Amino acid sequence: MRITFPYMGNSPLVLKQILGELGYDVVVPPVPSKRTLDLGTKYAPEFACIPFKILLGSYLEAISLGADTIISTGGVGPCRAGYYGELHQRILADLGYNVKVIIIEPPLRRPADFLHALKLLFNERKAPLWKLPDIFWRGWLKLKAIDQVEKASHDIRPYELNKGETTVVFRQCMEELDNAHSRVEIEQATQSSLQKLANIAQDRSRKPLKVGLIGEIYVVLEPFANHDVQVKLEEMGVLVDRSIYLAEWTQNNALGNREYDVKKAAEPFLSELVGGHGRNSIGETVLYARRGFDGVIQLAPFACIPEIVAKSILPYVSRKLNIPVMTLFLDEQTGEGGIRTRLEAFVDLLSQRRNKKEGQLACVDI
Amino acid sequence: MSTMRIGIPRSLFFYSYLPFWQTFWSELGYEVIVSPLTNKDILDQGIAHSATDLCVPVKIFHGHVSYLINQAVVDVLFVPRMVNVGTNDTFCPKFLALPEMINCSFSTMPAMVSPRIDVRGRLQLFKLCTDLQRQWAPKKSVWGPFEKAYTAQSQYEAQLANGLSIDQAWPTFAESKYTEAKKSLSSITSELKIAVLGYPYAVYDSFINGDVLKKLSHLGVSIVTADMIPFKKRRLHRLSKDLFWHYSNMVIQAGVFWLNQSVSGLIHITNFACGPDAMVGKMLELACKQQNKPLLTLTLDEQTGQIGINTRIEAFVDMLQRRIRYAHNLPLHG
Ligand code: SF4
Repeated sequence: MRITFPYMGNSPLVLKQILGELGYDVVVPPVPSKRTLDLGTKYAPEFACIPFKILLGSYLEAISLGADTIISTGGVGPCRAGYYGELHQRILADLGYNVKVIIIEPPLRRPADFLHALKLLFNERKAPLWKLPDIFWRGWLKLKAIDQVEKASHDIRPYELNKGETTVVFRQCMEELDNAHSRVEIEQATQSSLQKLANIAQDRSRKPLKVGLIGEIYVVLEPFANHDVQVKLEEMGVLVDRSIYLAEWTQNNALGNREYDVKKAAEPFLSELVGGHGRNSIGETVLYARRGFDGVIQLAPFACIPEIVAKSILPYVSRKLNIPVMTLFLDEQTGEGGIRTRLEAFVDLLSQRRNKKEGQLACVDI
Repeated sequence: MSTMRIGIPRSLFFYSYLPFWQTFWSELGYEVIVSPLTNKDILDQGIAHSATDLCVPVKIFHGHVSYLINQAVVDVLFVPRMVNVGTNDTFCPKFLALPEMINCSFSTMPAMVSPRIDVRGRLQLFKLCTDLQRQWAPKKSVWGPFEKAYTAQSQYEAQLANGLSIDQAWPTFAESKYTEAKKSLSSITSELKIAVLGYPYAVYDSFINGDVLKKLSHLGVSIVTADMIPFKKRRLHRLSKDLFWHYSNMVIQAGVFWLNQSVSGLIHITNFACGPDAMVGKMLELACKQQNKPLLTLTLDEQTGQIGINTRIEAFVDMLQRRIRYAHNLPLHG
């Protein structure tokens, strides 16, 4: 069993470790690239969203590297992502690949399917049963460590004196974490990474604009999908608060829905769950407005249902709470240059507003 | 007090549930105003009032709402929140958030009735109607209106299942446009049988789809639709894992059903930028491929012109006819 998995943000570091320790032959998919997306676009339905296309491309690349099994997540809707695994499987079969797709369904909603997937997955493991808790626990610690270090990097980049330095150091940190496996190693790598980041030369007298980054989880977490918006903004000197980090998200969602304050904040504007992050996008915008942020950027795959619902309502939220919101829809035609121009224009608008102090409403349309 | 006027926009839930709501509200003493057939003006207003990247049907819905608010000047607007009608799927998230989307898009709004429709069976529907009656027509009784509405709806569905077109089954759908001699859809018995599949608001909105149904019947094709299959029968054709959305499951199950009933080909009417359709389309494509049946996908957008659609339909029908002829000339055993 040569196993591969969906590529998203920093999570490969963790999945690689867990699956490897369980005793599988792991095929780590290559970092998504233009080639990945082209491959996915070629075989995916036209209006599938960009995460679907990147993942399909990524599976195809992994298959060409010898993978014969894919683990993926399921879901119960109403967002399309819950059906990805199923459709990926059918498309791959139609293309003539003989791969097994193990779809992990939500344990509480589809218990039988969930257990079945676990059985498939664990039957062929090599690690003895007693080791499992430790394996998963260390995976979890690593995920948290990665998020912690990444957050630290985002707090530093807008202040860095030498443009690009944070990114270089951050890459070293990730390598260090990648090589840390035991609890002690993970802890040490975390501390040394934080130290390295803190050593970066900074100008702390700056008063950066504050922007909240919201939207659909895949395009928010995967820099390739969003043309690295967060780093781009930070290098323009903007402090960016990202609404989603994988560790927190897992904690909130795997154990039932615990994002009460976000839900409550969204309530007056949208009372119904619309799947994916639709309602969160609204709630988070409200919270950012309350926290005095200068603006909000929504990242969404083109034709993403929950986010387009959110987008239809956001102008209203923006007017009511007087906070500018810009939506970036992403698809395979989105170009780096276009994104940069729009970010610059938005940042411009925000700094003008800050200078004027008394803000006018502004919801920037595509 | 003069009678209150309630407006029902002609899109989305409209084609499936109009008989119920039209009957219900008029029995409660309201004057029911239905927006006209979609036209260029309504489409343009819809585009102007909605977010750029929305699917066409939701934009059209905005257009109908705009008509009802600004031209018909209704007192009350009916925009139900369709959630679940007793199957294990929900409506597309855009249906779920429809009242909010509408509310945010118009600066002046009449009162809006937007019941949350999450009903399993008649009893729950009755409860919902009781609440509506208490709030909106406290002096009336709910019993009579509910019974009439329920009967109207059941009859409508039964007639569709018998192959009647929507305007034959419920005259409000026609609006004097179709005065020509009507044949019921399935009464044409031609060798060429095509399943026309899509969401009701795409298949039955003759403006946006370039009047596909009429065009096909002029070509002498016998048409079958998802509405002609009784619910229980259709559900026998479920996928190993259902899709999440009500109408999408309807389309895909109907597709599998008709493919098994030896139709000559399938026409899938889909909407530009429709999320669920990306999945449905691919599933239909794979199903057709398996059975070696041709599939024509018509993607509706704001610019879909009748001419483009006509040519594609003609070419498709032509191709199917050739296939049939060719098959007849083939020996049965190779
Ligand atoms: S199902 Fe498709 S066409 Fe219908 S409302 Fe949803 S996205 Fe629009």
